[in-house]
Amino acid sequence: MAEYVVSIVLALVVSAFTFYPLFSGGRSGAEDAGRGDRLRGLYETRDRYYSLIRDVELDRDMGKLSEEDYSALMSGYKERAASAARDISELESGKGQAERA
Amino acid sequence: MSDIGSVAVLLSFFVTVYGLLASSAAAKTGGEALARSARNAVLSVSFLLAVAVCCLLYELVTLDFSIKYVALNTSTDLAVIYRVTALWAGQSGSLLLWSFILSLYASFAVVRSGKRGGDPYVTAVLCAVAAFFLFLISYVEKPFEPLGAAESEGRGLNPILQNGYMAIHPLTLYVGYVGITVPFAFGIGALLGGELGGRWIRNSRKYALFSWMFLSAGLLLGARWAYLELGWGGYWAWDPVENAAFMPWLTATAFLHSVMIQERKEMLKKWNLVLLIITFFLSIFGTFITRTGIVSSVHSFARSDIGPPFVVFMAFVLVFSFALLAWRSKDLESREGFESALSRESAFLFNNLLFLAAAFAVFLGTIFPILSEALTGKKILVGPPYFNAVGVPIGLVLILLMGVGPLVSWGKATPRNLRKSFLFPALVAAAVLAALIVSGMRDVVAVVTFSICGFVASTVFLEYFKGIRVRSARGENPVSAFFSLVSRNRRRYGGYIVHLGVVLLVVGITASSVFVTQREVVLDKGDSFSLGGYELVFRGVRRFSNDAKDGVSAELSVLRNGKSVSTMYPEKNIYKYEGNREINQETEVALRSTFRDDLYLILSEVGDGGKVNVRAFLNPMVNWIWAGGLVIVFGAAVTMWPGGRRKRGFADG
Repeated sequence: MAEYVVSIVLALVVSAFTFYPLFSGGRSGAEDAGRGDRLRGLYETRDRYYSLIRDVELDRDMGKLSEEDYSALMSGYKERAASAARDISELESGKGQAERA
Repeated sequence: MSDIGSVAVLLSFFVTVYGLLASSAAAKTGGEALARSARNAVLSVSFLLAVAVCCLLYELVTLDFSIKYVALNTSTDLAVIYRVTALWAGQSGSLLLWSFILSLYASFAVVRSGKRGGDPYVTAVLCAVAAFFLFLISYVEKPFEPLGAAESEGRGLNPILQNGYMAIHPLTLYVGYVGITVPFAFGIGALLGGELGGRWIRNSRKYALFSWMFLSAGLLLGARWAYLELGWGGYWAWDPVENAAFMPWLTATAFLHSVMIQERKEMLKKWNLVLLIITFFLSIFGTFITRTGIVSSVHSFARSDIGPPFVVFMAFVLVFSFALLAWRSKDLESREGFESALSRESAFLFNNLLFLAAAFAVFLGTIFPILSEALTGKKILVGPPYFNAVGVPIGLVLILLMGVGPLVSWGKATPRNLRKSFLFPALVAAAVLAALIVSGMRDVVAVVTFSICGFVASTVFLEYFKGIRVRSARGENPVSAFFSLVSRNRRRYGGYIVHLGVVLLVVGITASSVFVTQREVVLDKGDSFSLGGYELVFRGVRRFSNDAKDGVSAELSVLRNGKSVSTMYPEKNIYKYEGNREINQETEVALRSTFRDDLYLILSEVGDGGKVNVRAFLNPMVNWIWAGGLVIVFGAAVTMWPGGRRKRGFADG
């Protein structure tokens, strides 16, 4: 008998947790969550290009990359890292403004 | 408890199907509530399966023989630790554990993907894979299936599974196998959603590396178990189940290399997806081989009728994935091409092709018995000579490329660069070659392999040396230069540590395969024999008995240069219960292990008059293999170690 009760409770708890988002209505934090996800992605992108830049610098210093290849790779990575950094600051300043408002 | 477990398993199947439908609908409509509900479904499944695993563990530990799985895999004489490990000794328990690990991976992936429920396409793929395994344990192989009439005694655990390594080897391997599902889900999710930028590859790489690390550890723990438990003197026999784990390892290794090209130069996008699909397929194929017992193997501990659903699932994975890839083919064109054949990109691509060729050769050898039986009605087994003939040359070139890759620059290497980079490693390789020939070594494979290993080890040394020199030139002392070099370039220098581990492993494998010596002797009390530099004296037999087994051991004194260095006791045991494979006898090898060699004794027979038949092996440098494994795992951990570069925290949102 106890096993049946536990099983029913299990089913109810799991159903409530699974379906809750469908009935919780508009989530006030949804927009913030979206911004958080986007920021996370941008930070990842920026850090990835920072890491590639360090890698390329090391390769150049170790004599593995010609100046020509170094410049070509570097300009591409720097541009993309800067673009991600710009987007981060725009998104963060937008959030700051929203919070102040 | 079994009713709760059954309900938990069944519920987890339905919740997973709901998760699949909800995430698919969310992907179609962009509905955030649906995506979050699908995410909660994934988390719920983890919880439900944790409950189911706990229930089954409870039944196993308390020996509830009214449950078929418990009755088939335990017995009253079984130690508690093996009652716990019996969770993965049989079919349905293994599949339950597989599903549980997958649910944990899926939960981790969706939680890390963000609070909006993550990418619904990725969630849908994870749910689809989980639904297949949960269908199997809900309807085909039920872990909580009751036995018609409860028995007072179980059949016991197969004796060769009663080994400490079996407590961790399957678990490690599962974590490796199952983890491949996550990068596969990111890849297929990207194809479905059309977001084919760099994000999916970054997410995939982390999980692929994690799985690769566990696959590597699992393979080596399995080899160690086979070495200690199967008692034939070796650690790798190209057994189908060993191959099954080795194939996804090969293609995952290829993926981890080629992914670097995509990250750096946005090339090989299609190729990376192909590798990911093949790796996932091979991980499912490996499970199919292991779980269905379709190919006879020393590791096939469970046979059942889950073969047909597996075949359908594998066919679906291949057809669906490649059709999707073909559909998105135009969006995956690379903007850049290979500038030169002398570049790191080309070295990586060549390395990829070889890894894939090796995986294909192993695949062919593994399925050949099935193919031959289907076509001719006669099962033709493919043994180690085939695998060695194909694997050794490919392996040697791959090891050579492991040294060449780091020396060649990205883009286009100049002859001057190449000369400068290759000089030191080439000199080291030449010195090793000369030293081996002068010392009298004449085995071509060994001489070539050791020379190549010298080449690769010197490239690793050179890379560290050059890096430290660069940092020292900026004013750092060499010790802090070393640590900052590794911490700022973990992927690269962790990778070099992995290369060094592979060198140790290859040296150990080569030495122990080429220079093994063995003897089979019949000894009376007081008799002695010599092997290598050891002399072994037989002192007599000892018989013993406990609740589980009747055993006999031989006592042998080991002398080196006339001095006693050890006493060894190889055993032969007869178990009182049959075990799953109806093997009730096993040998326990006696092992004296050093970094120079392993003295490995097997007690083959004990005569009535106290005479014993002993097989003795002297396996050189086997410990280098296990040490290499530890170095590989350490290197992979360094590579994955999270960075602390971020100056500003993420917005919580």
